[in-house]
Amino acid sequence: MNLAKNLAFAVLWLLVIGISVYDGYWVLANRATINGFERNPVGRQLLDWDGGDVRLLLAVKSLGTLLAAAVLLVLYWTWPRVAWLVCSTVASLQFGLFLSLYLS
Amino acid sequence: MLAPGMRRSVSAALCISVVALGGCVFVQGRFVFHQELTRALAPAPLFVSRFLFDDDGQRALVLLRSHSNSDGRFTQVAGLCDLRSQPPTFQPFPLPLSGRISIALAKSGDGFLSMENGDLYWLARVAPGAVQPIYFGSHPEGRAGFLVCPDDGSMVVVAGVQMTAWDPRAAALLWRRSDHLAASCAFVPRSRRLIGSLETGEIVELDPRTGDRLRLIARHPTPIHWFAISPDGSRLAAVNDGGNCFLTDLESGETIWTRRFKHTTGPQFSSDGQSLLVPTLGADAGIAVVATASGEPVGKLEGGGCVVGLRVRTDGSAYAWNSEGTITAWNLATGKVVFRLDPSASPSFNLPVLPVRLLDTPLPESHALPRAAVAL
Repeated sequence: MNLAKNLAFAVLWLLVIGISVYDGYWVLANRATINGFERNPVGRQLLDWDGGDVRLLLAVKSLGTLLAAAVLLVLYWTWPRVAWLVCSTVASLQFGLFLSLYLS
Repeated sequence: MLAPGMRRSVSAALCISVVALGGCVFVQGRFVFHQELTRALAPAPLFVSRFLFDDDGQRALVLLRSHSNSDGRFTQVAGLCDLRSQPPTFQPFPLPLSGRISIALAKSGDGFLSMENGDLYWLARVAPGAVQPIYFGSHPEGRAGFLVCPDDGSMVVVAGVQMTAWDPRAAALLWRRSDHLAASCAFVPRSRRLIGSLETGEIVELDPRTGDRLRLIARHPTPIHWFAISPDGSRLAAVNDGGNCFLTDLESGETIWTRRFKHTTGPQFSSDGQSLLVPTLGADAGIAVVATASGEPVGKLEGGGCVVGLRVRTDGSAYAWNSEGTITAWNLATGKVVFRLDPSASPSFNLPVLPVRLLDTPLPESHALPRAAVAL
């Protein structure tokens, strides 16, 4: 039972990371036009600071994904119920992002 | 401070996250985004949108353009091409990125650039060492439609919804008008007489000192977007959007002949003024050569592809750049191709694709004269 729970959490956790990486690749593949598409104000600010290039945006995105993934793991090891709640919420949001990217 | 147990947990979580993130990056890069990445990361060459030879034919003021994105926006890069080296080299000017740049080159060798935000630069006598354009003013409405200058490069007229004239050496605004909506303008060769075609279809002579309208030369039912003036300043050849070419006496305004071409762009007179060169597009792509006196065809320049821009040099040769960006030059006396440059085959032209965006970065101070000196 414990193994099944751990596996389910790992899948959800990997989904969060996987969709974030997918989003990063999408930004890289569309870097010539991303300035016109980016709606996230933080993302727009990062693009502006880097003179329209995507390097800073991707660096911050990677670091943010890494920290979020680590925090989720630590949460799961210490407060599993909270970790489930946070991870499923983040995964839902990420899945929504994935759908919007995939369907765009 | 974290407890030792928690510190170990955090370290372990970070390590596991790094491995998971790296794995996702590898797997998606290899199996999901492989094609997109290959395409996006490969240097996409910009293509030539304007190529202005200086008069000795050794250098050229060049405008390269990226392909438009889905919004129809694009990026342009201006620079100098040195044709003495093989393959020819391209040296971009140290200017901020710009969505749309206009360039003009005087017979004197002075070059002019206008950027997306309206900033204007002067390139004193185009030469390999002169790659530092000098800021001399800003067109008030921002992006200019086009620039024109007389042969001596002593002034430049910037046209858009408003029209401004500048003395680049003094960084001084000479005049500013908003009552002429110009479709095209040109200076009469070896003079400072300014001729403009207006969106109303009128072709008028303007006073280069004030921008005042001096006289009406001709009136057409539709705007004339392309015209050329003969080297002796006596004839004006105008082409409308329908491909109708009109040869007009510049002094009397009398139409000497008209001729219809299929899909044309800007005509040019030969250096002796005896022939008129008219690029034709479509299936019959080439450059039609007609006699200035009669309008009768006397030849055709072939091998240049779908010509989008044409210039004639004082040595009698003509050169054109086509929709692929290839530049071809002909000897007009023989009709033979004497030069061809395919920038995509020259490594220095293969600049990586640039982010498409409007100019918003401030200009480096080293490029700019004090703006107060040119305040409008």
